[in-house]
Amino acid sequence: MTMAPVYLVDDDEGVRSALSLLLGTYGVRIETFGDPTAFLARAPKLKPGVLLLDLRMPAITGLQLHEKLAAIGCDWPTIICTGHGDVHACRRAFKAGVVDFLTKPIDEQVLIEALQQASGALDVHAEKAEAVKLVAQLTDREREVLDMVGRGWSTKEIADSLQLSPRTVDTHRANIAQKLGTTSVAEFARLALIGQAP
Amino acid sequence: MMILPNPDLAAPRMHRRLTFLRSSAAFAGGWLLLLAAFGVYSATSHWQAFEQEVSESGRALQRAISQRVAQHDAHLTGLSALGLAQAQPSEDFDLVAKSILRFYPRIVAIDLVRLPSSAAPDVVSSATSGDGSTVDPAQVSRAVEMLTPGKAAYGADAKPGHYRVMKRMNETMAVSLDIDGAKLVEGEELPRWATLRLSTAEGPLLETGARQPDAAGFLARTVSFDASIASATQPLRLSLQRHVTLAQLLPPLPFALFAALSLAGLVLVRSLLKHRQDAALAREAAEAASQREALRQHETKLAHALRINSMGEMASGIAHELTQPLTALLSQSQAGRRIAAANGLTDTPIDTVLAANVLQAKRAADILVRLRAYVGKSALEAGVHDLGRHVADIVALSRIDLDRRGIALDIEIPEAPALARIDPVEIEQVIHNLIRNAADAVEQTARADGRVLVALKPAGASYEITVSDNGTGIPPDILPRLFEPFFSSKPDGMGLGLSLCESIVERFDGSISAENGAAGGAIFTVRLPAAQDMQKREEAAE
Repeated sequence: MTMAPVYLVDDDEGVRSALSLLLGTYGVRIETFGDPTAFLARAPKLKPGVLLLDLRMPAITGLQLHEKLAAIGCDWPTIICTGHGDVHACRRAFKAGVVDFLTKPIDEQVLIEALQQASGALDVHAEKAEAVKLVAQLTDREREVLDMVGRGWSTKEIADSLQLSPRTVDTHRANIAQKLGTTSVAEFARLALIGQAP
Repeated sequence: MMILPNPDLAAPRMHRRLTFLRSSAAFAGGWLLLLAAFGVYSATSHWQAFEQEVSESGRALQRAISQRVAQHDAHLTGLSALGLAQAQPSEDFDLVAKSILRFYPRIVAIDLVRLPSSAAPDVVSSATSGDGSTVDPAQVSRAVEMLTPGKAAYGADAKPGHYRVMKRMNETMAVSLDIDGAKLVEGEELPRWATLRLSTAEGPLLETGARQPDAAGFLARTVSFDASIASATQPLRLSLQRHVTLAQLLPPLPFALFAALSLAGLVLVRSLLKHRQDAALAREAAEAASQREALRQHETKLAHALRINSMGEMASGIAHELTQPLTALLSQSQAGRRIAAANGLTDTPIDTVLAANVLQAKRAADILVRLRAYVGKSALEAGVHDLGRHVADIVALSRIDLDRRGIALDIEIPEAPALARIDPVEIEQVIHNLIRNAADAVEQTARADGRVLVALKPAGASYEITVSDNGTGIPPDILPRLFEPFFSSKPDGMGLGLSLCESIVERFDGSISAENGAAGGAIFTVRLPAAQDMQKREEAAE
């Protein structure tokens, strides 16, 4: 199992060491932080990963940390864990885009499943980010052509629709293939779908 | 902003206006004033009545005397004619004279006098009655000497109270009447109270009637009427007097009666006022008592909620504290089992021990879950309420305590309702807690101008309630841990108060924060989302 790195932020030393020990046995890369503020400063330099945040910490709550991280671009999949089985906090957590909400003490199986899901979400997240990046390289006209190819239109249909010569359309297709690094129509369709700028 | 007055101070004021009547001096003064007014009224009206009576009697006497005096002139004329008609003194004259004397008792002597130019005058005929006496002819002669015939003149008489009227008949004859002045007034005509004085140009003629007292009594006065008798022959002046005593001006019986009645009236009014005042005071006391009772009930309710919440907060605090080591224990044991398995130690005693640890940790976790479920059972009774009203309520309640501790408690709330979805008792508890903390902080500084300010104001889509003080402020090292359960800076504090405040506020989707004010002292801010929904506003209005 390949899993994204996990960043654990919890003010309790015992919890940090126990969870890193446990996740270590699964071969998960885990970095722990006792101070949310220090983590906030470090986060932009870290590789994207899954956030495992304690809800109750001095000075700042896990939810607030999550919001602050999202604000600086670290909008990674987040799991909030709490000792309080707090329904209100839970509701707000999901509203804020948190992927899971775990109650302490966290059972091994539950934790691993949640992390796997979050990691998957991070993959999707990364994939989308990549697609957006690729599509962003295209000119407006190329994006139009990509969109039509993605819908399964032929070169002639595209040329008629855009009032271009089929030759020009072919030139655009060649440029697109070069920029996106693929000639597969199926891949074109996937990138056209998820590569729209957010 | 609306500043609420201190409700405890806005109490009795209206009664002070009435209490002056309760002073005995003022009461006696009022009574004396009434008596004086009655005295002046009584004296004035009686005096006027006396003046009128005296002047009416005087006028009646003036009329009667004028008529009688005129009769004397008529008699003189008649007698003169009779005397002239006869050359010699005759019996006729005597008869007429005697008849006049009989019918007019005030005329006591009629004399016919001869006035020869050479010889001494003599009385030709004389009729007298009572104390009348024959005239001295020389006096008649002197009196009429200068008169032309037919004219008459006044003459004095030796007897006190008597005077004479004499008429010259011709060169040699004259007639004289002797008049008893006292009889000019007939018995019934002179009122018993009256003193009548008759006088001539020469001086007093007579005084009759009631005797005037020698020395005027206290405040005694005399009412008088003066008039002249219009007669050429008998120019009399009439003076009628009445002596009036204080007792007559101010009759003792009515005065005493008035005094008694007015005293009774005043006593009645005073007792009515006192009754009304007592009733008002009683009403006020009852109101104050019911207010106190309402406050006490509110306090009880709050204290009850605080106990319940504190218990919950404590349980939840314990759960939170235990959860952390339990998390470590469970995860560590599960890690241990995986390490054991990786080393081929599955189902060895060490693995069994670790498995037992996992079970026990989960069992403990279940207990905590049940504990939390029990604590979380207290149902939320959230509805849309006016924060302003509840902030004002709790400030009024806290004021009792702060007044006693000499700390000023001010409140600023907007006039418009500040609607939020809350459970009033819970939120009041939060504000109550914050005010109490603020008061404790102020008390530590032992300053005389200790002050706590509770302010409510809108802030975007929320309302902010700030509780600020001029106390010690919060040490910076404590600030981050302020809302942790079981964390307290007070020697006897459980460390649940602020943690409870946070739990409550978060239950209503709000937040709480603390900072130190620029001018010292602490500022706690509670933010609660405003209830925007019109429908909810209507609910609150109902």
